[in-house]
Amino acid sequence: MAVSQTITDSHVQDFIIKAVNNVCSTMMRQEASFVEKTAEAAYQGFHGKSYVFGSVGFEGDIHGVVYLCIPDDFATHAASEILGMTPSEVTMGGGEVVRDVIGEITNMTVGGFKNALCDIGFPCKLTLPTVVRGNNLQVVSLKSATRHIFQFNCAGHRLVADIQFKND
Amino acid sequence: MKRILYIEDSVTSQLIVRRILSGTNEVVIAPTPRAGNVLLEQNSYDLVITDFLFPQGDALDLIVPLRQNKSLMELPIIAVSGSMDTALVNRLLKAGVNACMCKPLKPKEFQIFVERMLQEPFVEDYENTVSTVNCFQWFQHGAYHEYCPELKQHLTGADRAELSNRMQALLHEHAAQGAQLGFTTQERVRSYLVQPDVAV
Repeated sequence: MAVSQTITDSHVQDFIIKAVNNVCSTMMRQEASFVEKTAEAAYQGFHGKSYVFGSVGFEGDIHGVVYLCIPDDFATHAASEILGMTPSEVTMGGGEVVRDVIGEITNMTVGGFKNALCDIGFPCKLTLPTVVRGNNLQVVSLKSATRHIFQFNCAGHRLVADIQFKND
Repeated sequence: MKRILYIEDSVTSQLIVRRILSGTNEVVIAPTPRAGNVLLEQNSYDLVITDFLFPQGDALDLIVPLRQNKSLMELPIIAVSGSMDTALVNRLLKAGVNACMCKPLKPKEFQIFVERMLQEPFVEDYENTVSTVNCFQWFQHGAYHEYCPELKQHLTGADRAELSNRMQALLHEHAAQGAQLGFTTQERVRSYLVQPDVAV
């Protein structure tokens, strides 16, 4: 029954930090430390590297999408930790293994973020996860959406959480 | 050994749950609610654990027919989802789920929870959980209005935040008096085009 009139920048930051930490510590037994809130320039270092982008949308009183951008080598490491396989077993399993793990990680992370939005009075529902893997990927800004980009460090790897939403 | 049916489309979550529960239980996996329904018709289980959101629908496609089936009415069901907010918990409990858990599942906590449910099935008390109540707010003739369909209360005021606070206080008052709030299961917003009569 909590009621909030606006979603502040600090709400967004608190909610995504908690959600990322909860998923990394529970699923991979590794802490994800928040590095900084950044601009689109955070993607400059992505060029020429292979990344996995997981995204899940949310629809309701507020609607938008959260992208988790994970370096390919860390995605393989995460999959091996979570599934109890060696990195070479993950690689031999083909892209589907990594895609399923990152889809589930994204789903849980965005779920945690979305549940926090519901708790402050913005009920919404999740969409199914989408996972894309490749080089030189980038997230396009949605028209008239508010965008927040956060960098995290998990086991020496950089993760980016890119959040865009509209509040009608 | 107890038999658990886990309905989950993600191979990752299938492996995680199998790893947590397999030591003392037989875990059977179904990738969709429809496949789960087929397995439930053919075999007997001590517990059903189900994810909520699937590419072809949601867990209610399994839960609703299961609770309408007299022979399976008492089979305990646990729903797990990353999207487990209070409104969804209430919706699932009302549909007949015994309990809900939020993903990511903490292995030890989840294992204990499942063992408890298997030993002596229980139902989470939704009256003790937080409910989401939908109210409608609008601005008209220089004043803010807020209407709560569940309380059938219409409040007006000059300050929007103060109006929300008053409605929230009313909801708390009703909840404290034992009212079961949060039962709006279907909302619909209808728009009407109204053209005023033009004097000729």
